[in-house]
Order: sequence, then C-alpha cells, then structure tokens
Amino acid sequence: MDGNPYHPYNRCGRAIPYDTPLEKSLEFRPSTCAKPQMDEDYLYNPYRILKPLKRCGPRGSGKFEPISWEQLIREVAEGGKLFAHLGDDSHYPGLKEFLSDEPLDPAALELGPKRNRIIWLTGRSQAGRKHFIKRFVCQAIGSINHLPHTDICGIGFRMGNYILSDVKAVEFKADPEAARYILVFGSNFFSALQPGPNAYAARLHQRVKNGELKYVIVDPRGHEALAHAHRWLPVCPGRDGALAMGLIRVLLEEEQFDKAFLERPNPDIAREKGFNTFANACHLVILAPESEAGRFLTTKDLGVEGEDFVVIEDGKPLPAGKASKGTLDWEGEISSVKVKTAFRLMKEEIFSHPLSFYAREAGIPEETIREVAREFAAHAPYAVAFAYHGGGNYVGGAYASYAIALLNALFGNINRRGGYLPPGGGILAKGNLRPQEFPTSPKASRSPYLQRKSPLRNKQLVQKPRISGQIALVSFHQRRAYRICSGGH
Amino acid sequence: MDRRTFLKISGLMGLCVLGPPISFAGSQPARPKLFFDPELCLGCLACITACKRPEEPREIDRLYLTPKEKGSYPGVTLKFQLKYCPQCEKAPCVSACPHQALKKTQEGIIRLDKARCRGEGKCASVCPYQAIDVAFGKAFKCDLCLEELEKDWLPRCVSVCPTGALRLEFPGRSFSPETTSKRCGRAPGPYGMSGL
Repeated sequence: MDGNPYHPYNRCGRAIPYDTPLEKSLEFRPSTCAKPQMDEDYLYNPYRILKPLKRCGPRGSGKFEPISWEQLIREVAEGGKLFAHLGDDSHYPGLKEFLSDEPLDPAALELGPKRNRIIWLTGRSQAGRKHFIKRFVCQAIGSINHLPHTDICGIGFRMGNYILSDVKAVEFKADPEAARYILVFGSNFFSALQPGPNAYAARLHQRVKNGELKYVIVDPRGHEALAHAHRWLPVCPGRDGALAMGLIRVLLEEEQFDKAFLERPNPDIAREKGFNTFANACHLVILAPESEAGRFLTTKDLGVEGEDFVVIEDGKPLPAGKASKGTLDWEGEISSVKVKTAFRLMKEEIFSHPLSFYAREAGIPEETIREVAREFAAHAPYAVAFAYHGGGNYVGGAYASYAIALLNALFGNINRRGGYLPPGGGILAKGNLRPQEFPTSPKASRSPYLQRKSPLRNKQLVQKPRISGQIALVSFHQRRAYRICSGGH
Repeated sequence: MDRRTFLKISGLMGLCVLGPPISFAGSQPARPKLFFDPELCLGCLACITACKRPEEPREIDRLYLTPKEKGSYPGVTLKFQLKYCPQCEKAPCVSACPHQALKKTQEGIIRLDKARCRGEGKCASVCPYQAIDVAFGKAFKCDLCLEELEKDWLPRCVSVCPTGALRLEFPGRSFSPETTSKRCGRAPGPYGMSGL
C-alpha cells in the first residue's frame, strides 16, 4: 500500500508534477502513515462484518443474526413489531412515521417539525459522501439534524485561533520549513496531526537532525515525539493555558517581545515594515462608563468623522488609521471616558498572578518556565507555539489556545515565514472548484420541503413559544435554510 | 596518555559503539541487508504494519520496534530501536536447522523454505538478534521480501518508511521506488525521499 505521489502530503510537500505519466510515478516514493498498511488485513479479516446484523436474543445477550439489506431498509423505513418473533410485542417506529410537517412539540415551535427527530451522526465524511448524506437527511427527509464530524471535533483549540485572527482562521501551525524553535502543545505529531506524520513530522525531525530546529513537547503524556524533542514539559492535564500565561509573564517581565510590531496601529504601517499582519495591542479599550466597558474606543465616541479605533501617539489620541505608532502601555481619560490600551489590559491580567501560581497550576517548575521563555525569545521571530486537539479541547480550552496563540503575537510571527501559519488557501479559495455548484450540492431554493406550505405559516398553530423575542420568530425553515447554505459545519 | 593516543582510542571506541552489536565492519564482503537509522525514526510503525501479510497470522513479527526510555520523570528521553534480521554472514540459524529449511541465496539472503520447516524453533533460539518468530507450528523470517526484490521492487518495510530511516543496502543493484531518481538525476533529497 503506497501513497499517491501526486499529492504533496505523501511527498513532504514536493509532489511530482501532474503531467508525470502514471507508470513513471512508480519510481517515486510516496509514503503513508502506518494505518493504510493494515488495509489488506482489514479487507480480508474473517471478522469483518459484511451483512447487516439483527438482534436475535434478549437485549444485552450479544446474539445477532445476519439479515438481508432489503429487510434492513424495509424495517428501518417502515418500523413495526420488529421483534415479535422473540416475544417482544412493542412497536418500533420507522423513519416514515417522522415524515410529517406537524410540529415536534406544539409548545416549542423552535424545535421545528417532527422530521427533526431524525438525527444523522456521522464521522469525517469525505469525497462527496457529505453531499449525499445531506441530500438524504436535509432534503429528502427534511431534518436539520445532520451532525457531521466538525460539530464534535476540535472546537476548543480552534476557537482560540478564531479569536486571535479576528474570526478569519481557525487553524494555525508552525512553519515546518523555517521555524527554529517550536512549542507543541497537546499533539503527538509523530503519530497524528494533519497533514500526518509522513508529511509534517518527517519534515520537522529531518531539520532537527540537521540541527536547524528544536522542538519542545508540552503534553501530560510522554509520547513518540520525545525521541527527538529538545525538552518535554509534562504539563498537568487541561493546564496548557496556565503554562502559556506563565511564559508570557516571563517575556513581559524581561521585556522580551517585539515592541515595534505591537506598536504598529494599522495594516498600512505594518505593510510598510514588511508585515502582513498587525495587532490591536495599542488600541484603546473603554473601562468606564460601565455600560460601554470592554469595547474598543472609536473615533465616533470622540465626535470625529468616520469609525476607526483610537490610539495614543505622542500623548494625543489619534485615529488608528492615521497614526504611525501607538503608545503600547498607557491608561488615561479621553473626553471623560476612562480607557486603557489592549496591551495594558493583557499585561494586568497576566500580572494578576505570580509566576509561582502559573507554575503550580501547570505543574512545571518556575525555573523551567523561565528557561523555556528565554529560549523562545532567543529564537524569535522563528519561534512558534501552537496547539492541536490536546492543547485546548476541554472546558476553557479556547482561552488556553488563545493564550498559546498570544505567544506568537508577542513576536509578530503570525502569517510569516518560519512563524505561525494559517492553512494555505487551497483550490477552493482560488476558485478552481466551487463546491456550491456541484450537482449534488444541496441548495435551499431546491428543497422541496421549503416550497411546501408550512404549519408555521398557519398562525393558529403558534402557541406559547418557550423562547421569547426574536429567536422564537426564526422559524425552522430559516434555520434549516441557513444550515444548508452554510455548507455543513 | 597524550592527546593523540586519547583521540585514537576514543575514535576506536566510537566505532565500536556505533557499529551493530555483532559486527566486523570492513572485514565482511558487502551483502544485502537492511540498515536502520534511529536518528530518523518517528516510531510510526509503518514498516511493522507493512511487513504483515494477509495470508499469515497477524501475531507474526519480523521487525520489532522498541522505544527505549532513559532517565526518570520528567527528564525522560526516548530512543527507538528496531530489531531486524541483518542476514548474517555466518548465520547460526542456517546451521541450527535440522531440516535444512533455511538456506542462503547466492546474493547472501537467508531464505526460509516453509515446506521443510517444522516449527521446532531451533533457529530462533540461536539467533543473536531475536529476529525469527516461531508461531502456529512455523518459523517466520525476514527474507527482504525476496519476491519483491525479484521484480526489482524494494522490500515493503523500506518502501513505506516516510523518513528514510529504514534503507536497503544491496550492492550493485537498484530498486523501485528508487533511492536516487533517474528522472532528476540527483542524490536522495532531504527527508530521505527520492527525487526531491
């Protein structure tokens, strides 16, 4: 079992050209991870289930018998007394009993029609399966409850990046080609992590061998990647955020961060200096009056034309778009509005706990945190900290992941060579393929169910809605239409 | 001891440490064998899974990857060790078999004749590398995927290694997928991949 040599994943990013003849492609070595090597065994496994199995004993007895596909489809679709031959006279509902536009619960119309009782849970449905499933679940049946992979996978750590990038990207990773110091939070990239050990890990550790890169494993578990790691920080489970905050505290204490990057108030100035990102560190945030607290001060608040954030330059407030350098660490009062810079707020939050607190929470000695922070600063801007599932998929994980991402923001290495990189645009972004235009792609306007007369339009049916206000007015039609248009996640 | 003597001795010691446990590096004629570089190993087990055959019991192992831990928590370091058959020059397994089931090919690959094997395990007991597995009344031994080599293909384990940690040394012959690419005419590129 070999990989596809035309795919960059299997060739460490160096795929063979598409015009290479198939026969010629066999000369090139495309690697895979260990999983597909067991495909043969999986295929010919005597225990492989080839037919549907139906229970033929009492529940929990573990007794099953093979049935035909026709019987399976009939029984699932139509229901009935399916276990009458076992002495069980109860009625088992089939799918057809839910194909009704009657409200699921007349007292809670926001739950939609009975069709929504059909729920499809699925894994990572790739290569067109998703479109087929959605056509069946959302259009043929008319349920909104198609719950694919992404609804249950990785939301925590991705949201940290979502906050960082101002809702532009969810996944960032270290540049495997040019980073020189990587903190890996919660990921065994020697056996998992997209794009797989044969692509990402193979590239990283070759550079480790050449002495071009050091990586630090932050993980409660000592896994395979320790084999070539510079350090292992066995952080307490779920405390990655505390460690990241501790590292930031050391960097701030020792003034080891890229001040010039954080002072740039707008994208134009950043671009002039050769950066394609900028931070809102010097933008002012309102503290009082309380009703406005927490949001950024804008020029509108000061009675100036336009709507732009405000920074302090040479002691005077200026629109961020017109300033060339914002004061980073500042607090004061402008037009009787109490404000602080975003950087000051972050600093106060970080300094609200001593390093010993972060060290205790994370289970990593203070001295180690200091050493790692210094090493990180010494390699900046080619030092990167990134998290994958283990580093943020728990309660509060989005904040942990955000703290980890901030380590990169302190050095302005986001979206830069050797830094913290978002995924490439890929063919979807470049417009070669538009998934919305695939023939099987579900479209709201084509939904036969949407064109039907709905019970919600009949106002007599509307009883006491449980959710008051605007939300209750969002009919299930609109919600479903939204889900269909949004492409599934 | 002067500096020169010290360097000489330490150099020799280095050679001994680096070489395989039973090695007379240089004195032996070149023969086909696997070569494993732990510095490049990810521990991904692709070689081990690729070595399994659907027609054989899956409990059979011809390669063993063992992570060796050193030190105590949290200062633990890890190193991978791969046990494999080095196709010994003077192979004790060949002479140990009372049924002549193990034979050396002309190129120096030790091959097991399954029809003659009775699974007594004498070969396994004398193997200094513990590279022979005996189970279900048969011995299982690495023959570098001889049937693949005959078709000019690399052994399965070598061809799937994502980093080039596992290589085939076969003097005077080349295999596909190749370690150097005719197409690009270059030496193996970074990451042990061909034609980069």
